[in-house]
Amino acid sequence: MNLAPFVPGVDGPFDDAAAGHLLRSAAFGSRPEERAEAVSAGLPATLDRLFSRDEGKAAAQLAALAPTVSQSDEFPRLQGLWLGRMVESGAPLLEKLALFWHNHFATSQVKVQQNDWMWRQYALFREKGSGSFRELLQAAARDPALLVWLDGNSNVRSHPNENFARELLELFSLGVGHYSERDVQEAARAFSGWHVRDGLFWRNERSLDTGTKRLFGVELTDGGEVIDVATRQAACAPFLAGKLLRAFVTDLPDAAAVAEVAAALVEEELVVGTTLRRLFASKLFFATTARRSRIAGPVEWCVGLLRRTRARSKYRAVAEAAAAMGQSLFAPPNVKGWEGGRSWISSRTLLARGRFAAELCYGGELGITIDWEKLAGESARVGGAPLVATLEAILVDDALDPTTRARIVDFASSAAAGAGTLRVQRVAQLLLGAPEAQIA
Amino acid sequence: MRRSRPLRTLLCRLGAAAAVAGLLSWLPLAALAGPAWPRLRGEPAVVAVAPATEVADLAELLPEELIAVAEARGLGARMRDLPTSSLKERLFALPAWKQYQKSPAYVELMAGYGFVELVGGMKAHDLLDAVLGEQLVVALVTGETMPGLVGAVRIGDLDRADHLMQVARTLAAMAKEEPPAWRTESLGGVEALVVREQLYVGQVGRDLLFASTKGRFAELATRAIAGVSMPPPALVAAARASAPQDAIVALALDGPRVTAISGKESWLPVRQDDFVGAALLGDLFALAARAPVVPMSLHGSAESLVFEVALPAPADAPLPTAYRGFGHANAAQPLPTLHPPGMLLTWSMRRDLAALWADHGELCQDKVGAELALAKANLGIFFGGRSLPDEVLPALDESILFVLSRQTFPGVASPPALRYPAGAMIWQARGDHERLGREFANGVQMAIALFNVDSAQKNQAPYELFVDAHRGVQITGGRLPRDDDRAVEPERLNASPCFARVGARLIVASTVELMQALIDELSVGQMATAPSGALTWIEVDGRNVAELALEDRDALIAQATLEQGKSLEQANLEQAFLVDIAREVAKLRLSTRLVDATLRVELALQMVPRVGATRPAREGGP
Repeated sequence: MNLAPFVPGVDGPFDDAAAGHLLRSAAFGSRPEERAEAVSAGLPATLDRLFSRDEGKAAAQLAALAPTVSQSDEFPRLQGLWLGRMVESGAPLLEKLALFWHNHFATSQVKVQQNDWMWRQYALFREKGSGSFRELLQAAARDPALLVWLDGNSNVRSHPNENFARELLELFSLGVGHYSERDVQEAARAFSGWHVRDGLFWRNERSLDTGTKRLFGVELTDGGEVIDVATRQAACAPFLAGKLLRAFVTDLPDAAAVAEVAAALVEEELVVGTTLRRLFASKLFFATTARRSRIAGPVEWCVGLLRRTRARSKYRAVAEAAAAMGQSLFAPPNVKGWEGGRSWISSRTLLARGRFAAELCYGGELGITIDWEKLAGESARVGGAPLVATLEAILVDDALDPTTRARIVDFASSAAAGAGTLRVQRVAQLLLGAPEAQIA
Repeated sequence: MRRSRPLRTLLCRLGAAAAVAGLLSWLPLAALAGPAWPRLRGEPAVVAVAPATEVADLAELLPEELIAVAEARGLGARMRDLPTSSLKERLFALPAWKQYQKSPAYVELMAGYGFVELVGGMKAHDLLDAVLGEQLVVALVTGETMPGLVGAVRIGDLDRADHLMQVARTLAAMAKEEPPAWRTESLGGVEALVVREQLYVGQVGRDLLFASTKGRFAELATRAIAGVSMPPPALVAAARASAPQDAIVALALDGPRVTAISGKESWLPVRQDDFVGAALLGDLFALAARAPVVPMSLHGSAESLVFEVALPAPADAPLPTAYRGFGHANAAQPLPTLHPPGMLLTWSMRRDLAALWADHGELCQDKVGAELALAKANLGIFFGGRSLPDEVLPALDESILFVLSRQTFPGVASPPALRYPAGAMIWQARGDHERLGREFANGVQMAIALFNVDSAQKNQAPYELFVDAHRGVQITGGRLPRDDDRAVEPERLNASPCFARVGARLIVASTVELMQALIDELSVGQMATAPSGALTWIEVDGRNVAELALEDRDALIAQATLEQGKSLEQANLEQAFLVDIAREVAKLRLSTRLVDATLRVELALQMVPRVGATRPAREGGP
């Protein structure tokens, strides 16, 4: 059976650690009380809640500012708006899925230059991201931002531009090695005339190539048919499965795991939401090897920390900080998107993470404000091991290596740590500097 | 499910009670709350000294070496009336206040309010009444190394004075600091409470005395006990002489002493570091800098508040000729003002720009000369190569008007998300106004052409030039074509720059809508004028500001949440308060007037009248 379900009590406990793993993968991490609530509610109820689309009043109100912010010529404000919605959202999986599809279709505002088009594309990912991949791809192929990004308006009957068609096959549906150059040329013909006018998708009849094309042995006419045929190819499900596993479970999925998820995708007719739900409820997902095997991307890391600490911050400035760590929202580096995994960590980006951690702890230009004493509760007064335990549970889900923990406890018990808020801040900064704090 | 109103109120009160309970460390104090306020262990036993004769006027206690002084009479009584005042009524009637009452911040406020009453042993307004007393004088005085503070407050009766001193002593005794934050010392015959060696507080009869240094306190105490009546210091007399009878606060500042402390040639900069600042404030600064005393006052009623500065401007000691551009010589002539529909701000002033430009060497610092030379070279292209300072400005009269108004975007299906105000400048031509009008029209067209070059480089829609007529007046300008699909910067969405001439008046406006409104007003031929002597007259209409804030609500909230790190709740609340409070302001006025050899600077706030007033229904909002 593909993606055999995880049975709490039989395959292992659905305890604080398991709940933490689920909430790091399907959300942006959790606070101790959220994990306790999940454990108490049980796995099915927790999954129901994760797949809810109720984002809450604050996130909805923030999103309602999009038309205003889109009109601003300051692009970082748009980045801040999405990041803020991630922080405020009561439906974090929706945002994580949108982030996943944003990286999948990897469209950059730097070329598109239209804030509102970028926001519309993101809204599309939120709306259709958990539904049928085929339907999402059909909609994405008609998305103005993606068409501009991949030179759709240059694709005319007499001179087909292959950009869109090539990326559709290579990056969006099948992967390298699963199509021929002939397939690309034929697909490009099928998409000729798929243009943008007045900010909307436009079938430019004068540029449409209405002739018959042959793709993967199938005769067809229209670009929509290309998408249907491509997503029915055997390579499509494993291609998508690998990406889902890398985004939500592990940076290095093995072939067996990819095959299991791919089979589930086929069974679910490429409906991503139901497949993901099966994945999050599977033995594969809760296996020890699957836990803590993913480096958190900059946006996920920043949003997670702001949510865990219930911080207030200048969302625009935080979005810019995430960009300095290597992930500029709405502006992936190229058509392949962010590579992820180990590429998130370099000498430059690690310094940027360190700067963010310092800002989180002590405040500064990002406008982050946290009531550290309230956060640490009674342990703020005690210091030492209780303080480290409290902060470890909040910031890194109790994941510290024992040696690291012992050293931080030594510091937290020493006079050098000071007292009161300053001690809490210093210990928090040490915790965030640990490698475990970068892992999801 | 919505909570019922009584339940919400109960929850708020419970929250407040819980917050108060958090102040458990103050429980010993709470136990002592009440009129008696017995002493804590270790607290000094102090008996109030009675004066030989109570001085009639607390200002008599002040030393002569005053740098600045403030005096308030009857402030306590005003505070006592606060619970029944129309101000409270206004505040509590604001929709934003009702929203605020549901927030955690309100619970904290109520907890703090309760704590103040607990510590003070009386209702908050009674406490304020007691502390502010019948008469309050505070002064900054010269010192050996740095200025110090002295003051006195006359409490209504001896019991209250005793009570307040007891509260002060008990609070000081409870502070757990090492070394102790307080001590007592006998100074000038009074047992003074010394707080952190920085504040000396003592009681003589029903007067509470305070000073920041030992010597100054002893001086106060000695005079208070002796009760010998003597004239108040000259600075106090000057403050009283200038203030109206019903002044809430009378203030005065000793210019030469402030200058001596500043260690500079003058306590105010005589030469400004930018031309606009010099043109706006030059005469004020010059008069204030040479005035021996600068008297100020705050006065008003339930529906208005006025802060006034009176600068001596004697005719026998006129300003140097470099200040000829500020229009003092023509102050008696009427100064016109404009009030187009949706007016946010109207600013009328008398400034001879040509004279100010010519005198910039006297009025501004040296670097401004280079900036003006550059401006002269650059701005010449807008006037067909004519020199701005030598040919254009001398052709303009010294009456200048500036107007800001809301935009309604008539006929625009999707107005911009951020609605900037429209603005206009109006000059009066001195000489050949037809020729000058043509040159201004050419200048506006030239500016639009330059905008369009910039737009083309950004692949943005250009302004289309037009010549329209309104009430027979020709309007020359540029507007964005409605059917252009290219993106436009938000500020350009808000603009259709244009020029028109109505008689000798030359108008440059940022939108056609405002231009038409101004032409309407000017064509009627009965412009309002500011009172005689006015040199500057600025009015802000609070209700239109409120409407603009409401129209720009989303943009303001986005700014607060994305750029300033505020929570949505906080941003919503602040925006709602801004709108509600602005709606209560009928007019905010800043003016300078030359009257009776005095330059009066007045900042006046006029509230919307309560009686018979109907407040417009709020649209949208949280």
